[in-house]
Order: sequence, then C-alpha cells, then structure tokens
Amino acid sequence: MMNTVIIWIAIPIAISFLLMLLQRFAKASTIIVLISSAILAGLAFLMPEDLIIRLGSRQFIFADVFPIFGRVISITKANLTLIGGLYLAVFIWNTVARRLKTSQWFNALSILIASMWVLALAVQPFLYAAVIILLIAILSIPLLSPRGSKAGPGVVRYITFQTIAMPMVLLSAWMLSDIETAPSASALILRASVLVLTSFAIWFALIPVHTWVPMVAQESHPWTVSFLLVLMQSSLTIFFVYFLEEYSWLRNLPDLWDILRWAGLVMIVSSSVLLSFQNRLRRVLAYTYLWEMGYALLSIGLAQQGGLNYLQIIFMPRLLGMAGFTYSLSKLEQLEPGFDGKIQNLTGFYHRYPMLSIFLVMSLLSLAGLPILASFPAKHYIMNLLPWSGYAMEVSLSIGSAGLLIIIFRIIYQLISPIPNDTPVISMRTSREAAPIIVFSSIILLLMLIAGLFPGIFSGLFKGILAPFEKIFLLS
Amino acid sequence: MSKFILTIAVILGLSAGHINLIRRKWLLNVLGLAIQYICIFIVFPKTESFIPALIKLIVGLMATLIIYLTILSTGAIKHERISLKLSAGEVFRGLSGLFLVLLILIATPWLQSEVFPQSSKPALILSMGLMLLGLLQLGSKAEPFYIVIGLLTFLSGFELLYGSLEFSNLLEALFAMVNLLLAIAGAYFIVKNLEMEAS
Repeated sequence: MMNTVIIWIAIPIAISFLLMLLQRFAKASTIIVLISSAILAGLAFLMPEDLIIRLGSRQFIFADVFPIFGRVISITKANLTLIGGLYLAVFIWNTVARRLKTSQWFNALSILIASMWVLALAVQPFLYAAVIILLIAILSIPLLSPRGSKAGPGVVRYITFQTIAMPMVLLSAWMLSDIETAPSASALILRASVLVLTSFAIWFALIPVHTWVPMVAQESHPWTVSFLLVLMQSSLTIFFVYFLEEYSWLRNLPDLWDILRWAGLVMIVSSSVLLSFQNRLRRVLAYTYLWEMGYALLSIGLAQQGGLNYLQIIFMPRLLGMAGFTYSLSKLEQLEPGFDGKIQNLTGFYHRYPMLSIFLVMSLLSLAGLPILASFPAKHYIMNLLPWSGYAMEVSLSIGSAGLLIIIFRIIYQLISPIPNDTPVISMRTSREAAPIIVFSSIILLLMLIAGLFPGIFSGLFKGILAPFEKIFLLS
Repeated sequence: MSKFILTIAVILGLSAGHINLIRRKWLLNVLGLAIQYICIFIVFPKTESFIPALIKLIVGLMATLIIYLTILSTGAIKHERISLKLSAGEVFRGLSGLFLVLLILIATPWLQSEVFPQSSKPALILSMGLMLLGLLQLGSKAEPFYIVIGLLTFLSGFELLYGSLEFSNLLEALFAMVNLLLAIAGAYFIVKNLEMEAS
C-alpha cells in the first residue's frame, strides 16, 4: 500500500537530495524539479476523495497516516488542495529560476522547503510544526544569502525572529494539557493565548516585528524572496486557522475576532502608508507582502461572516501577482546591470522594455485588486463582508488602497517618462526582450485576466483549502 | 545527582554563556558553547531515561565541533589574540548579563511555583539564564557568527526547559536537526564572510 506522506513528503525530500548532487547541472536539475513538482501538484489536485486511484482493473490504495517516533504524520484528502498549491508554486518559480540567476541551490531547496511546509501542516500534534517552521527558515539561508555575497542583517534577523517564535508555541502546547483538564483555568488560557498570538504575530511579521521582511527583500534575490514569502503566507494563514479550529478556548476568547480584524486593518493601513514612501522596488515587494498579510488576517477575523473563503479565492491571484512582479523586477535588474532598483531610475524603461514594464505594472495592479485583474474578486469579496456601519473601516481601507496606488502611479510615471538625453546610446535600444520573457509574461498576464474575469475557475480549484475546517464555521 | 554537582553545573553553564556574551574570541566562544552543553547534560532531568540527556550532549558537541572545525580549516583562529582588557561594550554586556542572571535567581521561586512546577530549580535557573543570555546576545551583536552562538545558547536553554516539562522522541529529533543545521549555517556564514574579506 502506498502512503500519501511518502508521496508528498518523503519523495520530494529524496528528490531534493538528488538535486543537491546535480546542482551544477542547471538544465538537468530544472527538468527534474519541474517534472516532479508538476506530478506532485497534479496528483494532489486529482486524487479522489477515498484516496484510491483506479486504473482499469487495478486499484492503488493510499494510506493517509504515517507513524514516526510514536507520533503520526497525516495527509488526508482535505489537505491535498493546499499541498497541490504549494507544489504548483514550486513548478512556477522553477520554470525561470535558473534564467534569473538565482542560487544554484534553488531547484533542490525549493522542493525541499515545499515538502517541509507540507510536513509542518501534516505533523500531529500540529504544534510541533513550530520547530519545522524554524527548520524551513534555516534551510532558506543558502537561497537568501548565497555564496559570493556578504551575509546581510536581514537574513540573520529573519532566523532570529523564527527562533524566538518557536518556543512560545511549544510552551503553549504544554500549557494546553492543563487547560484541557481545567477548562475554567482562565490564567492558563490567558498565558497560552498570549504565547500563541505573539508567536503568530512574529510569524506573520506584523508591525512592529516586520522589520526582517524589507531587509531580506532588499538584500536577497527578488525571485527567491517572493517564492519563500508566497509559501510562507499561504501556509501560515492556514496553519493559524488550524489553531482556531482545534482550540475552542482560543476561538472563544472574548474580542478575538475583533482584534484579528483590527490587526488586519492596521497592517493594511500601515504597510500602505509605508509603501507610498518607498524608493526601491525590492522594498515595494516586502510591503506588498505585508499589505496582503493584512488582508489575510482581516479575512480570518471575518471568519464568522464567511471571510475564510478569501483564502481560497486569493491563492492563485497571489501566486500570479507575486510571480509577475518579481519576475519583471528580477529581469530588469538582470538586463540593466546599472539599475540600482530605485524607482526614480526607472525613467524611460517602458521605451526599452515595453513588455517587462507592462508586466511589472499589471502585476502590481493585480495585487492591488483592480477590476478585471486576478485579485479583484477576492478583494471585492472581503470588502463586501466588512460591517460598513462606521467610518473607521471605510477610511482604513481607503488609505490601505491609496498607498499602493500611489506607488504604482509613481512607477508608471517613471516608466513612461522620456529617456534622459545623457543616457548612453547602447541602453536606448528599443528592446532587448527575448522570446522567453515575452512568453512567460504573456502566460502570467493571461492567467491574471482569466482569474479576474472568471474567478470561479481558480477558486474552484482551491476550494478544498478550507475542507479540513468545520468547527470554525460553527461559530455563534 | 548530588546537589553540589548540579549547583556547580549551573554556575559553570551560566558563566560559559556569560563569557560568550562578553568576549568576541572565536575559540573562547566555541569552548564556552561546549561547556554549556556539558552543563546542560548534567542538569537535564534523567527521571525517565538517561538517553535524552545524552542525545542533547552529543548533538550539542557535534554542533560545536562543526563550528570549531570550520574556523580551524579557514585559519581564522590564527588571528585570535587573547587579551584580559575589557572594552566598554564588553563591560556593558557583562553587567547586563549579570543583571539578567540575578533577575532569574530572584524570579525562580515564583516561576517554579506558578508556571513550571515540574521543573527542578537548577534546570529552571540554567534554562532561563541561558535563554535570556542568548536573547541578549542576539540583541547586542550583529555578526552572523555571534548571532548563531546566541541562537544555539537560546535554543539549548529552551530545550533544557522543555525537556524538564515533557519528552517526545519526534521533537528531540527535530531539535537535533535544528541545532545541527544552525551550526552548519554558522559555519556557512564564517566561510562566506572570510571569502568576502579575502576578495
């Protein structure tokens, strides 16, 4: 009998070790990682409810539990949609990773990190995932700080924050055993809640513990950073919902849902304000991530009104938006070695790189949730759920959108500005965009439009993300 | 284990953590780290089995060895000069560390009665002390090597605390991986930075 844990955790880990040996052979390792991630993603989406694949008269039965060291790792059908999404991200990011001159470890470590996220979501008791999340952070070091570059403070701070978050979750787990035997122990509940919420605040990079995000984004390759952030955001938000699902004492905390809603709004507003003042594109990536994290938190806070659906609707648009933005940014940096990433130095880029410029702007507009683009249905959905009774939320969300739009218009203005007269002739050639750039950009743009115009296609694909959760929907 | 040995282990472990916080001498820091792990082995609760404590010692010493062999192979030890003179920063860190240790000593009776009744007093003092010294190191230094030492100190303190509360084989395996990977990350940072300085 086959086992889902072996397929989606053990085999990818084995493949990553193989790819480590093949890291110098870019083409071979890219082909292997693309094929394996496509198979893993496809199999996750296509796996039947009963975990039995029938081929003619033959049946392949998959077990969903794997015992290890007296505990279990379990991957049921309910988990497979998210797992499919994670491996889909591995596939998308690996298609162009080597062309964008990311670390030579990218192929191997990207699939390893995805499998570790799967492990984090599958381990029982799931609180042990805290240690796995720290392992993921450590495994990211060679990607974020490759050889040949000085170790920056951002990576170090990232590891430090993850290390500090881990003990808090484990200690809360230990306290839980007492809570279960003494449900009225309010002091214990308060302690455990503070520990859990603080560790999630660190994991979510909520302001003011967000500082590592812009630092890492500035120091490291944008393509690598976006891959790690997308996986982290998608997995951590679901992991937080697991907590709320499993622990009634946590979800029944007085005012918890209001706190989550306001924390989300504060994140949206503050990252939006900070975004509008940014001068470097790489830092725009960081604050866009934080802005999106605010929306994710807001949606969890609105769980009683059905806000969790946002997490399934946004999955694909987030992937596309982040991939589009960081691809165009990485490619511009690669094609223009003199470009330092400052927005004011984008002057005239539209005339030289029209496709990349359009792709950059469209990706940001998509992330901002503009109509007909990928994120619009999700943003529209969450805005409709807000209780529009007072002015506070309207004002917050308006400011929240304004900051991102300001930075996008600043970028557009610089891109379409005429090329300065003193620019060397060699960099004034109309276009050095090769066919792969046009093909990749066009595919992602097309997918963004499809996701915006026909949101049901992708949200239908990812609706299973919420399958493991039942109790959280029964809130009074 | 006799109370005297436990007390000596706690004092030695905290002193090693303190030296790691104060001095920036790679060889001294590696030695301090090794002493910390030996002291944790002595203090680690052995009520159920001797093995978990032994695993912590082996993993800790392996992590230390990884860092030591890296600095040995890169030749970084040759640049070391041991001086007894303390700089203003070192005095500040020393006094801050001392303050934290005193705080722990004062708070331990309350912590033991209210929060961690399962933990023994020596385990609680050493674990909390190492965690706070590690955190102080994380906050007061920016160089990746010292940050890794700080992280290992913080983690070793937490592992001692958690080991006195409950035991899980899977968690032990994960902790071992974290420690070894952190040590490898530290070695990676050392090599990377030396390469950058050389170029």
